[in-house]
Formats: sequence, structure tokens, C-alpha cells
Amino acid sequence: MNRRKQEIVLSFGLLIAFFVAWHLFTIIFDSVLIPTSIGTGRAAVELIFEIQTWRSFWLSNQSLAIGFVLAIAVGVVIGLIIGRVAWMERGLDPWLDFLLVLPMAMIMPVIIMAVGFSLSARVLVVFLFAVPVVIVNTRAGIREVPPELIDMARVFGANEFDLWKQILIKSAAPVMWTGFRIGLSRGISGMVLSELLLVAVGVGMMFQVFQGAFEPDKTFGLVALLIVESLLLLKVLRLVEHRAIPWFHIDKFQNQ
Amino acid sequence: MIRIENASKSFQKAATRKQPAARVDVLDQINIDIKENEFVTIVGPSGCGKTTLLRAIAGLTGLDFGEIKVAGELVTGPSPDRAMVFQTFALMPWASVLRNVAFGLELRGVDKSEREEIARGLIVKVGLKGFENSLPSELSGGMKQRVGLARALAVNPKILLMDEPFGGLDEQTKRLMQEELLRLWELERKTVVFVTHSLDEAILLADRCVLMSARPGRVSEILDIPFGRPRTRDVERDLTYVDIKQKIWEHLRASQIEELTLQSEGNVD
Repeated sequence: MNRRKQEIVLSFGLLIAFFVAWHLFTIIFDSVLIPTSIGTGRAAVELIFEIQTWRSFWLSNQSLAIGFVLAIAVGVVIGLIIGRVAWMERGLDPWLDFLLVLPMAMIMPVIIMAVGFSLSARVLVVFLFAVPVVIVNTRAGIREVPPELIDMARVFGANEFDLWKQILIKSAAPVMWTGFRIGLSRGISGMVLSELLLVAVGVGMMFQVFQGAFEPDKTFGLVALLIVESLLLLKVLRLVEHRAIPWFHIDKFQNQ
Repeated sequence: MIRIENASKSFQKAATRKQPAARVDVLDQINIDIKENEFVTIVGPSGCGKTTLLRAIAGLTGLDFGEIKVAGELVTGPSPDRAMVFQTFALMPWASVLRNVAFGLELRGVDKSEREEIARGLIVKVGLKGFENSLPSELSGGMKQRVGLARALAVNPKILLMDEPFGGLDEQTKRLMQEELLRLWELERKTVVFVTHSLDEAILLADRCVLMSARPGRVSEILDIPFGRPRTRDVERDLTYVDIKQKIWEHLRASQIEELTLQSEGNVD
């Protein structure tokens, strides 16, 4: 059995084990409040064919799209600066830690008071969830630029602008992309959380409605769809990354 | 061509558990005169400041005292006259061999077709024909350093600064690369400053060999290497060669032992 087959057996094996365990769980704890795997699957499929589902996802994803793009734009700029300028880093580091440990769920009321029940509130939450990891990874990427590459560029006549354009950003890109990926998954958490705790719209509102109506199958069917969407978004980001830094992935492939 | 006068530099060493912070003299009153088209090797124990000296000649780092002049001009920063080859190759992993070789010219604003033509010529010269579009990750260590060498030659510098360029290569590749360098240098005799810790390399390649000692980094002796050019590895069988090698080794051993004594006395950690 080759490596590839082992990988497939492992991941499908785990998938099957998960559903078996779920099924056994529902048999043992026989309750109307616990969704069954089959019921959830059926509900998910039904939900796909309802226009309301698509509307909700569209609405929810607006905050994700805007918040995530903003997080990348702002996070990259801040990360690049503090990765290269020592005093900026020292000055901003406590704030970065603050942002990382900030209990987001608890500051939701503050956000409502600040920006109201609006799209901007949800965007802000997505942004706050995603931006710290983008900053931290961009900074790490800049810090990990091999010093000899900087020496090399200097020797061959690079000025500060050349250095940024030709060496620093390109060299930091792989670590930055890791930050984007983690940022996206955190952004998705932020999107959901904002709709559950802050502004009941989109997927969050559907979830609350199903939950309130004691429809566990539909509730979990919706969760399943959300997971599928998240995985698809991550996949798309991966594809973009492969196009953006192909050299990095060729490298990894060959070293296997 | 290169005049190094009283070059001195020290670093602040951070305090450790054993001892308080101290200044370490990396370079102490270094004086070397390097003639045009001369091949000079610098040998010394690790920590003797040979790489710092090379970086200072390149203009990557400043001196505390003294000065370095190249062709009569004071070194204040990097210049197109001086190109460098790095021990760790310092290739851009995202760029093809062609782009890496042409990088110095790209920074100088030479237009694409012209710089690629020059780069292609040098790729052939260093024996990498057919690898123009490969990425560095697809090359072996020896091939990577050929790229590093071609990149340095591409800008047609007057001076080539080489920082243990073959130090990271295996023995066979290293020997092959030394012979390649001799061959290339015969084609176009540039002024070369070559830092190494290999005794054979220091003699085989050089017109003169600078011996340095550590803490403080000083020039102990400058040896003339009397073998003619073009030179081949045959000189290794010459008795004079053996004598010179012995002499360099004794020097290095003395420095190394002194270092060990200092360490055991706790003066250096």
C-alpha cells in the first residue's frame, strides 16, 4: 500500500468512524433534542434547495468578505512595519498582545454601543478576529527573511525600496499566507459569533430560529453547510496561494 | 586596489551569567594592501573577524576606527565595483537561475533582454547550461554556488569578495569548485578577496595569504604563495606547498589552543 492510499484510508476511515460514533450516540441517548446523522444530512440537503438559505449565506458572507479583506490590508501593513522597524515593534507589541488575548465574545456589547446593529458592527468583529494573526504572521515572515539575502541585495546595489519589493515581501510571503489562512478561519468564527451574539441576521439568525423551534436536524444541517462553506473558502484560498507563491510549493513537494 | 588602514571594530557583547557585558575587539588595527588583479585569501580561526573584514570591504558594515579605500576612494557603502559570493549562496528561492544571475543587473536598471543575454552567457561559463529556468531548490549545493558566482560575475565587478564560498560543500564538490574558480580566474583576472578556513584552499588559489588571529582579530602574517599561474592542483605535491601548509597550520593551532586556554580560564565564555 503506498503513501497516497494510506492517506485516503486514514481520512475516510476517520469520517466513517465519526458518523458511526454519532449514530451510536443518538441511539444510546435517545432524545428528540439530539440530531441524528441521517436527519442532519437530509436537513442539509433540503436547506440547499431553499432560497432562504442562500440569502442568509449571502448576507453573512458580506461581513466576512469585507472584514477579511480589511484585516489583510491593515494586518499586512502593520506586520511589515513592526517586522522591520524595531521601535515601532516595541511600542505596538503590548497592543498586539492585548488584541490577541481580548475576549471577543465579552466585548460584543461594547461594539454594539460603538457602531450599532449594523453591517459595520459585523465587519468590525470579523476584522478583530482575523487581524491579529495576519499581523503576527506577517511580522514573523519579515523577521525570518534570511539576513544573507538582505546582505546580497545590498551588495548588488538595492536601496530600501528595492529591498522591500524584491526581497522582504517575497521572502515573507509563505509565512504571510499561513497568517491569511488562519485569519480566514478566525474570520469565519467572528462572522458566526457576531450573528449569534450581536446582530441576528443571515446564518446566525437561521440558526437561532431553528434552535428556538426545537428542530435539531435543521440546526445541525445548517452547521454542516457552514462547515462545508468554510472548507470551500479555505480551499479557494489555498488555490490562490499556490498561484501566488508556486516556488514555495514546488520546494515543499520536492523535499518530501 | 584595496587599502585597509588601521581597520578596527568592536562589538558590545551582552552580559551572561558568567560575566558582565564587555566589548569584544573583532578587528584590531588591520593593515592590508591588496594590488589590482591579486588573489588574496584570508585564513584564521573562527571569531577572528575575517567575515567582518570582508563585509567592511563590501561596505555592508562600518568600522570604528581606520579606513578602507578601494581604488583611492573611501568605502562608505556597497558599490558596483565590488560583488560578493556568500557561503550560504544567498539565492532567491522564488527566482529562476536566470533571474538570480541577472539580479545585480536588474537592480542597476539594465533592461530585461540585455541583462538576460549577459546572464545566459555567464550561466554557460559556470557550466549550468540547461538550468536557466530551474529554481534554486532544484539544484545541488555546488550548482547553487555556481549561480552565486555567475551572479557576482554578471555585474562585471573589479573586485570579487568571497566569504567561505565553498565552506558548505562536500569535499569532492569543493575541490571541483576550487578548480573551476582557478579556471574562471584565468579567463579574467579580477581582484579577489577570499575568506576561508580550508588550508588547501588558502594556498591553492592565492597569490598571497593573510593569516589572522582571534580576540582581538589581528593580522599575524601575510604569506607570499610563490607558485606561478595558470595553476593546477599539481602544486599540492610541491615541497614548498607542504611547508606553507605546515606554517599556516602551526599558526592556526596556536590560535586555537590560546582560545581554549582563555576559555578554561573563564575569560571568554
